[in-house]
Amino acid sequence: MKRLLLIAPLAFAAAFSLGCSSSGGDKCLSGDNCDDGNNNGQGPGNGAGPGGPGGDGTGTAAAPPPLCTTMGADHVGLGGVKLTDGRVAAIAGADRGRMKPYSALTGEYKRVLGADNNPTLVSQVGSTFGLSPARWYAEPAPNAVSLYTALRVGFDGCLQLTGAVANGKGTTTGDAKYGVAPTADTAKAECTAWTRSFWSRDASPEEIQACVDVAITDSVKEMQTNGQTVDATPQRQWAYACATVLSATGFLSY
Amino acid sequence: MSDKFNFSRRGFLKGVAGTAGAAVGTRLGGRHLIETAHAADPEKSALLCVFLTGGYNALFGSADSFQNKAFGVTDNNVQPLGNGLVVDKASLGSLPAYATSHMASIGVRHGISDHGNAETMDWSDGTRNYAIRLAQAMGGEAAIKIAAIGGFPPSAPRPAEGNVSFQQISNMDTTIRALGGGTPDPKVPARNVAAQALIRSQTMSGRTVTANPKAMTTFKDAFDTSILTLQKPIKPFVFDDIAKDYTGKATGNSTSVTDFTSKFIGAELMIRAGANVVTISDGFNWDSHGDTDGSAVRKRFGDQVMPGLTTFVNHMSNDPDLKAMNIVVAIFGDFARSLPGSDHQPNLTTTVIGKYVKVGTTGRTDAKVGLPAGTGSTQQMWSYFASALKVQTDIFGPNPHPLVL
Repeated sequence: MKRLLLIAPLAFAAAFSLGCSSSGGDKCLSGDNCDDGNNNGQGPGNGAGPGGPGGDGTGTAAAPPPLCTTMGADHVGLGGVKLTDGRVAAIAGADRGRMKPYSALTGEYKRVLGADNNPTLVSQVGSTFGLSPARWYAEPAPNAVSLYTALRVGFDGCLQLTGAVANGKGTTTGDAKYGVAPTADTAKAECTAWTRSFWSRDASPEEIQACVDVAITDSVKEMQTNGQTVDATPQRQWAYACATVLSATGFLSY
Repeated sequence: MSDKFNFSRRGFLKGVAGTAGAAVGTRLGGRHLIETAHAADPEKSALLCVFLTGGYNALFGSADSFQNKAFGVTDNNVQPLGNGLVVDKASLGSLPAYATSHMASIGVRHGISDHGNAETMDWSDGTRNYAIRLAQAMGGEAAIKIAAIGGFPPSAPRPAEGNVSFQQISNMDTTIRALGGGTPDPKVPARNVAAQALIRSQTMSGRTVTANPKAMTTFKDAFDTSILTLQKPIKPFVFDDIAKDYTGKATGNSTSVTDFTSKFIGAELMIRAGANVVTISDGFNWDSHGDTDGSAVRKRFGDQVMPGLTTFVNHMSNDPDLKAMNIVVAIFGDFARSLPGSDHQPNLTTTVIGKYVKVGTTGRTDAKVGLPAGTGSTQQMWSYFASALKVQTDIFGPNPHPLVL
């Protein structure tokens, strides 16, 4: 029995080292294309770029990550069960996206909008975002209410950013550019900057256009609770576009 | 963090009238435990599941099984309700008359005595979630068709069925805002713009969701449901109007979801908002090992569940809006508690209260907490729920609980 206990770790180590090798060898591991037939080359890529878990999935320029093709010898564990049983084969980097927890979001709004424009609402909605009790952790997941609340929180901060309402210091300090109604060109420039800043990556043209559409089309008329519509001020139009970017997965997930 | 809202129950009823009208065509009169409903009754129906994570002692719904034998059941603490149904007197037997005259115990012989698998099987077939399937089959116009107040029921998978996904409700203030309630506030996005904004955000998120089809599926469900919610007519609830009967406070009620009472308030809110299925559960507090005289679960049930349940049942029978609906309340847990140590019994006796539930039992256990062979399993329990709700679609197979009539 003692001998078995000594041999087992050695056998395990050997099996582990032999258990997987990339068909592409070093070249593959360094990130070059290593399509081996098991991967169709349409993997989502990795890292924070457009193909990563927080990215847009295009991954056109990124080489797919290496996959094991030589699985090596099976090793049967001490319990008589193969150590590879139940192992899931998946593309590295796929399905890693997660919602940012509330504890992170509270700092994120401040980071991207500026400390003075931190939305006051964010401190009141912890339970909606799944704030766990002390010493507990629950994986946050979005739902209909929390996503709408995220829009409200973002709108709160963006109203401050654009000067539509007083900011955290009690002053209205929005940039003068937000006092002018957005046009296709100005909205495109601002949306490009916001997406880069809020998502920490460059947005695709379609994503920027979605932001532009909010700024110059969707937000022009606001319907009040009494059913009447009013013209939105330029600052509010900008704020809606800003909040839209903050409600996308580029900001809410990682 | 309380809010005062403009709320008209009549207005709400008008809002759901279309839903009810659309729903009537999908429902038919029940059978067996179900009384015959008026053929043209355009009722909105809803199921409220109260799940006691850890277990639900059969002393509550099958009290006479243990009379003068176990779990502290005596001649003095049982309440016969008729047709062989005998319940715990201080809890189920003390509910308003509407409940005691519309209550059944449903036997569930699922054969599982470990928590994880029992919870999974209570709520799903291992892949698809019964509650979500039921919510989808019930139809209607509500954006949120199934809601978990507080946390989700444990363990079971909960993939969306079509466009119906399980939505968690953890704060009623933000929920009421999402439904369109709340005082006018310039910092709240206009509803028409908010809907469009989230559509655009969904577009911006599309590739990420596609690239993370499993991990980000909740984002897809959340976008779909939130956009739909914003596109629906406003439901201007006054939270205190709902909460006051539960708390005794006319104003200033907390909108947080914390204990059972606040969860019952949240459940009523979501049912009024048109949800088909609402679930309440709490932490792992009902795994009552060693509670051989049943005193611990009696006290916990009496202190925590009864206050909210009693008020909810009163509203079911007295509130004009809820009375007009066909609401079914189901109380169940992982499994019953075994003898002698109040451990894990591989079956369950579920308590059901509802407008078309007839008093009776298919869940009467023997003195060793066993149920007869041939008693249905969890899918058959859900089939009974569907029958009590008058869901026409036979999604769970035939209802096998006819003997109580």
